[in-house]
Amino acid sequence: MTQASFTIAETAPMDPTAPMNRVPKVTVDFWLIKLMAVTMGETAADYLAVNLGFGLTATSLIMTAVLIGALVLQFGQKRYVPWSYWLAVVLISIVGTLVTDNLVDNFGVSLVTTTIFFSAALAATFLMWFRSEGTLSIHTVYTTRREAWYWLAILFTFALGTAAGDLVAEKFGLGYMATGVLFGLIIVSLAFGYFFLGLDPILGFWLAYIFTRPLGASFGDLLSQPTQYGGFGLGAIITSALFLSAIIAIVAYMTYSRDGEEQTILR
Amino acid sequence: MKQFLLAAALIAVPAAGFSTFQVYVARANAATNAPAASLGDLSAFAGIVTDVQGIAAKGDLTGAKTRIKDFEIAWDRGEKGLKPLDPDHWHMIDEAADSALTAIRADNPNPQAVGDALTALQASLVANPVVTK
Repeated sequence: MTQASFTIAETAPMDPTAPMNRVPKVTVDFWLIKLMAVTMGETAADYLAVNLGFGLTATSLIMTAVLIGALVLQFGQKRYVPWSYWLAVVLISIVGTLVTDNLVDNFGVSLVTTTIFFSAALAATFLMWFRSEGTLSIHTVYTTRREAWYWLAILFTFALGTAAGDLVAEKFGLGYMATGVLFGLIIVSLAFGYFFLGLDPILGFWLAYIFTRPLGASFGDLLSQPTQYGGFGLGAIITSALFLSAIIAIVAYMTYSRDGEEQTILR
Repeated sequence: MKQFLLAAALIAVPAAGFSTFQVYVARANAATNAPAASLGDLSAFAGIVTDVQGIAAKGDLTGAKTRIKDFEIAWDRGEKGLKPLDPDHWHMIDEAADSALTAIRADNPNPQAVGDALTALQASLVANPVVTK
């Protein structure tokens, strides 16, 4: 047998073709839609908790149930399907925001505590993921177990990004503008590291994934906050609807172009 | 290990640069006698609370519950913009508002407790808080 078939056998034993990765390739539209999902998560969480009048606790429970339903759908796909993948991301973004708000507002847990807790939870997730799979690669997520690690890490990056972003904004009295600039600079710096200084792609990906959370949230606040506080005064409904439409448009394009799909590759 | 150090540096450099800039701006503001931290004009909020107080004083606690919802929505809507201006004062008002909402939304609201909570909320809105850190 040749070298090539040996490589494939390592990825997927007894299978002539390597299995499809269940999560998307990281492309420009990946980051664009991730950022918009975050922005929408922030404004939609505000809208659901404040305007609908279910209160924070009931809203959190309802949205968690919806998220579980979406994740069941996503795990059932066994491959990358844009609408179900991004539906899960949008819902994780909303629930992640609600969880942090709940811990802070209802249970009086300080932002310092939540930031430390979610950092530790994320680190533990990566450690156990690596122990169990021998890799943290996002290009070889082709089993349900690996996909479970992937989504658990995503959930904690959202919770951590929310807590850390709120912490920085509150502790240092920064408005959403300044917060957005700060996290934008960090992401530019990480991108520079990845392209020019040899920053590890997996490490860089997860760090950027964490920091796009506060960046997107600041942007959402800027658009939705009333003009007397320096926002654009679009309100939570219009901002959420605007981003939801953009997300749907991009997901439709992704479904058509199929450029997020990839076969698992060895790392 | 090298990778983690590189990542830490990539995060620390922009953060340090940003902090330096912020401190510089704060100094410049202090030099040009900029006003101290303040939530600014809160009269719109105080107006709603005055309304609620008036309705509650007539014994219409259901009406008061409806009207204070307007306060809740406006207050929560402004959170992201207001809080950074003066976080300590913001939290003081937020706690007073929570107490007032809890009192009014109780299953059998106690008029006395509602009145007291509203007075406290009104006071928190006008007070220039002396916060002990």
